[in-house]
Parts: sequence; C-alpha cells; structure tokens
Amino acid sequence: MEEFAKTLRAKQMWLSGGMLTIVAVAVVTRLVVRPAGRWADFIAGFQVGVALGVVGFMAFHVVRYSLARRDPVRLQRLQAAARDERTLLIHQSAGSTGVAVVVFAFAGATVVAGNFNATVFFTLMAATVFVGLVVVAFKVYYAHRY
Amino acid sequence: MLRMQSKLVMEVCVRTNLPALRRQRKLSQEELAQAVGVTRQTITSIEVGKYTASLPLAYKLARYFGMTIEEVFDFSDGEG
Repeated sequence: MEEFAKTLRAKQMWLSGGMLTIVAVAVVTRLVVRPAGRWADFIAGFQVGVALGVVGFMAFHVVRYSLARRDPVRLQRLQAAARDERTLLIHQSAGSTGVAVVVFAFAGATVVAGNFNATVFFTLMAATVFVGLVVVAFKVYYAHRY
Repeated sequence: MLRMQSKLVMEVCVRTNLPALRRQRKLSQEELAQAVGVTRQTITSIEVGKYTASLPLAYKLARYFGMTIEEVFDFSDGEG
C-alpha cells in the first residue's frame, strides 16, 4: 500500500509538471505564433480547447490521487482498480483493437485522399506508416519480453 | 499473448461456486473483492462466467476460503 502511495505521489508530480508545461506552451505559442487565414479562429479555439481539456483531465487526477493518499479506504479502492486484472485486460484489448481499426481507417483514408489533395494524402500516409511502425515495434518488443 | 489470453478467456468456460461460498460466509461481492484486491465488477464477471480468473487470482480466492483452486473452480468443461 505504501508503495502504491509513493507511485501516486510520483504520478501527481509528473501530472503537475505536465500541466505547467502545457499552460506555458499554450501561452507562449499564443503570444508568438498565431494561426492565420480563413480557419484561424477555429484552429485557435481548437488549440485552446485541447489544452484546457488535457489540463482539466490532469487536474482531476491530481486531486483524485491527493485525496486517495490521505484516505486509506480510497487508496485501497484506487489500488484495486489500478491493478485489477480484468480492467487491465479490457484496456489492453480495447487498445490493440482500437489501433488496428485506426491503421485500417488511416490506410483507407489515405487511398481516398490521394484522389483529392496531395498534402492530405502524404500526411495521412505518414501517419499510417508511423502507427504501423509503432505497432510492429511493440509486437517485436513484447515477443521478446514474453 | 493478449489475443491468446482473450481467446482463452472467451473459450474456457470455468464454473465457480464463489456465490455459494460467499453466501455461506455472508460476504458481499465488494467485501470479497477488497479482500483479494480486485474490483467488485471482476468478482461479478467471474461469478457469471464472463471472465476467467488468472491463476494468481484463482489462488488468492481459493486461499481466502481455505480451499484448493479445484474446490472453488470447476475446470471440467475445458478438459479435452
């Protein structure tokens, strides 16, 4: 239990650092680089929205971990939830299936985009190759590990 | 590994007498879950046969009731 509390403390610190970094990057980029053109407002709004969403998500977990570290019952519940084998299996299954779907969707979208716009085509192609390479790298890694 | 594990979970139907054991000891699913370090949902899934406990969890459950794994889980359906 103490070990888990230490893990939570480390996670809290990482999350807090991440929040500060995101806020700093968001402020600096807003001051230095501003999206231009027809979609400028939409892009800026999207960027701010993503930053707020991620920071909100991180803040939620910082508070959650902080409360758990002060209350043994909450800590035990959180530990059970974090290490629960069925939950881990669900996450792993959802992750691997999700990535497979994403690779195929990207590949299909790349083929379609090739008929309309070269920039979109190459962007999607790069994303597809990148995700594919990541999947292969992890497969090789885990094949050696287990 | 994961696919094989998922397949095993789906294919091997392991029956359990956890509900009866819990009733005998007047234990709720939540209490049992806390005792073996899993969530209540995991206990529910094991009891209804949707999820097969891993060997360490099966061992923990059996030990909690002071029994062997075979006394808590029935693997006869999965035997060739």
